[in-house]
Amino acid sequence: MRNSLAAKRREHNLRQDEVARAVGVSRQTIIAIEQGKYDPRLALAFRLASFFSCGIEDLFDPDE
Amino acid sequence: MKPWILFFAVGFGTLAVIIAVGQALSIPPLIINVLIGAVIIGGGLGSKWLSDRQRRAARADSEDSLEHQISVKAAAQTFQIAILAIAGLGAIALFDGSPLTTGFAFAFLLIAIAAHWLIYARLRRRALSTDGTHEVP
Repeated sequence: MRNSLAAKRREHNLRQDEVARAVGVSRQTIIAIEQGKYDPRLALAFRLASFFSCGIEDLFDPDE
Repeated sequence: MKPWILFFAVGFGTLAVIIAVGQALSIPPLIINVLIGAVIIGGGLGSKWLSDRQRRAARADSEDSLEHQISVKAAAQTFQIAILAIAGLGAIALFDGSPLTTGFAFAFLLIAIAAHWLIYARLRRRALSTDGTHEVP
């Protein structure tokens, strides 16, 4: 599953650790998601979308 | 990394002191063994405490974290290895002519497999249970 988490994070001028702390996961989790090596659970995907004030489909693309 | 270096240094240092004092003062081996056992058990509990503390600090214990998912997978794979190890122990004991050890090994094997399926059934039942509000007409 492709995602635009890294782009969103840079757009908001945030560090990986800041995003991780905001959504309650480890920094390694954010790194793995950004690299496309880890697909988050639905609850975390929603928290990330909520944190960036966007829709879940704006962050994650299930077609990829 | 530093807390672990300190932890192991204190642990091995304590063991060395116990052994050295025991030899110097001719303390009975039973007391030395009990003290060494206490340090090893304390070390095991301490390492778990330290590990949990570090995981909490890094939010690695969160259910959504990569580390948690990996930990669950690792535990599942370790269970399979443990099952094989117990079966192997039972087989060795069988050929070694130790009926009590063989019995214990196969009893543990049965308990572990039964526990797996009981937990599986409980989790499946919980996942599929409904309060009637989500029934498909």
